[in-house]
Amino acid sequence: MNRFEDELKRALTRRQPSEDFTARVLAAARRGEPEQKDRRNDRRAWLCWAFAVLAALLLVLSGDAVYQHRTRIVKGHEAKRQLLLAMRITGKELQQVRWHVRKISTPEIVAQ
Amino acid sequence: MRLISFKIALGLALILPAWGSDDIKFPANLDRLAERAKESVDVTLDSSMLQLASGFLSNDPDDRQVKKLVSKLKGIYVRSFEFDKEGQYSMSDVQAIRSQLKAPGWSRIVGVRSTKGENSEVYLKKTGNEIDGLVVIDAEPKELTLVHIDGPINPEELNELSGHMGIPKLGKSGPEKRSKEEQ
Repeated sequence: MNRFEDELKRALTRRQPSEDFTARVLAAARRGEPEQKDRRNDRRAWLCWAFAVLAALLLVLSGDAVYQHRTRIVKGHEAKRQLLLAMRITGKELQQVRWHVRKISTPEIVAQ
Repeated sequence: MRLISFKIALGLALILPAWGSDDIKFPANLDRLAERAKESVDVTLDSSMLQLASGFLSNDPDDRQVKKLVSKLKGIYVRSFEFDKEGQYSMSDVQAIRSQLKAPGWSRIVGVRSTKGENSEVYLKKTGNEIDGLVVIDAEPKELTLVHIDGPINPEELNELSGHMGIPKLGKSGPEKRSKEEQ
């Protein structure tokens, strides 16, 4: 047990770092800094591009949706106008034929 | 092998509907009449356009009636021309349509010929007891109107529309009243 305690004490004994320790750490940090900065800048640029592409895509898609919607409304109104016109013409033609038939079959009604 | 069968099936799918269809085709000459006409109307509404148009009809009684009428239709086609003078169209243009309206599918239910040169004909296409199509040909000296309604149609429903939406109500005054309402 004493031996273990001794070893532990020895391991935990406060030791002074070598004199060039600070310089070495700072040098190492300085060495890694530009790489990290580049990596961070790259990520930021990529995010910017991704955001720009996404925004453009959203803009195009929403623009297209609005255009499609408007086109559908215009087409729908035109179709409705044509439908009502067709109904009017068909109705008139059938009434006219009916009137002709009625005129032939019961001339006295028409003569009144 | 599977690809060949697929191609054959696809080919048949494309060919058969066209071969089996008995659509009325308006002759190409008819479109040229529009250049000579004082006024012309060209309505071509297939089922998809009819559905689209139905979606834009309101809920008032007239529109509801039209909606009900067109809900089963496959198409409405109208060509109408009004000319300044007589003889601007030839009867062969009309004959090209008449020749397509043959038995057993089609039958002429009304044919009116007047000495003034006003000829009106109504053809019906019947499938069993149902009316499956209607063609109206109205050939007057200065006017030519062709109407083709494709699909199941109830003439009574069409009749109910008279007096609404500018469709004249059948009265004693007949066409005279019609022309007044038109103006």
